[in-house]
Amino acid sequence: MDEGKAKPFEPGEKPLLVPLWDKEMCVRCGLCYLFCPDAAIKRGDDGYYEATLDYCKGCGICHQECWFGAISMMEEG
Amino acid sequence: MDKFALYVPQLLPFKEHFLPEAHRACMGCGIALGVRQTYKALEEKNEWMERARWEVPFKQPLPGSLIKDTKEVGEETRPALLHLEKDGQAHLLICFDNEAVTAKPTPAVFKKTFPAAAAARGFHYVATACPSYPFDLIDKVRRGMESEGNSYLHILSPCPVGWDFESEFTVKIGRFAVESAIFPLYEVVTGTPRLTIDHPTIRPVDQYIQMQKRFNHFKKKEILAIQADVDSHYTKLQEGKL
Repeated sequence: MDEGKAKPFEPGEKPLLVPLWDKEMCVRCGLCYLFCPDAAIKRGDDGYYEATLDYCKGCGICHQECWFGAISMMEEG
Repeated sequence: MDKFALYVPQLLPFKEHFLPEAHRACMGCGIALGVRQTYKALEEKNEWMERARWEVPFKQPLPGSLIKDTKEVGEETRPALLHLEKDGQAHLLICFDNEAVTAKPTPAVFKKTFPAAAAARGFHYVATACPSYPFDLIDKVRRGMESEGNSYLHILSPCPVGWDFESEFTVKIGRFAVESAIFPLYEVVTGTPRLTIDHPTIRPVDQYIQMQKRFNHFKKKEILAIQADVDSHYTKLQEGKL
C-alpha cells in the first residue's frame, strides 16, 4: 500500500442484501469463508462465521454455495 | 474443541492479505477470489509476496516468448498477469483470464492456446486452475513455486459483468466450466499433461453456455461444433497429449 499511487479508501456503499446465518443449520464447515471474494467472512470465537458488513458487497456467493442452506440474504437491520 | 472444530477450510491460514481496502472489484468478482486464494497459498513466504508484480492489462506486451502466440488477441483485452519471483528471478507467471476477448467470444479457443503455448516454449510446470476448486488452485500455486524452472498458471476467473450472469453464480459457473470439460483442470510436468480433476460424467456444454447471456447469439449448430471441439480436446488430454 505504500508504493505506487494507490491510496487506501473506505469501502463504498452498503449492500442491499447481507448474509444472515441460521445457527441451527450451520455446521461451521467454512465453505462460505473460503469462497468470499472480499474476505468479508470471519470466524468468530465460538466457531461460527459472520460477515464484516463494511467489506461485504452482497454478492450472494456464500448463500449459493452453502451446502446446508444455512445462509439467507436479508435486508440489513 | 468439539468434533466440528476441524473442517478442511480451517486448515488454511486465516490471515488475509487481499482486503477490499486495496481493490475496487465488482461484487462477485472471480479475479478477486482467485487472487485471494493465491495469496493464501503463499502464506509464510513473505519475500515472495512482497516482490509480486502486477502487469495491468492495458496496452502492454506480454513477456518474451508468449507474444507471438497472442497476436490475434486485441491489445486492450489482454488478461491480468501476476509475476512472482524466487531468488531474485522471475519464477511463476499467473494469468487471471476473465475472457474479455471482444473479437472472438467463443469459449475453448483462447484457453487452449495459452497453456499449450507456454508448455511448448519450455516452461517446466504449466497448469490450469479455477477458484471454484480452491485446494486444487492452492496446490498448483505451491507446486509452481517449488518447481525447478519457470512455471505458468492459467486461472479461469468468471466475470459477472462481462459474462452477464447474477453475481451469486460465480463459483457455480466455474464449476460448470470444469465439469463440462470446456476448461479442464490439468498440469503439465515435463511435457505430459495429467488431469487433476477428472469427472466420471461430463456435462453437456449447453448447460454452461445457457447460464450466461454473453452467448445468447449462439445457434444450435455452433453449440454442436463447440461440443465436438471440446470432446476431442478432452479425449486428447485423457490420453496424455496436449
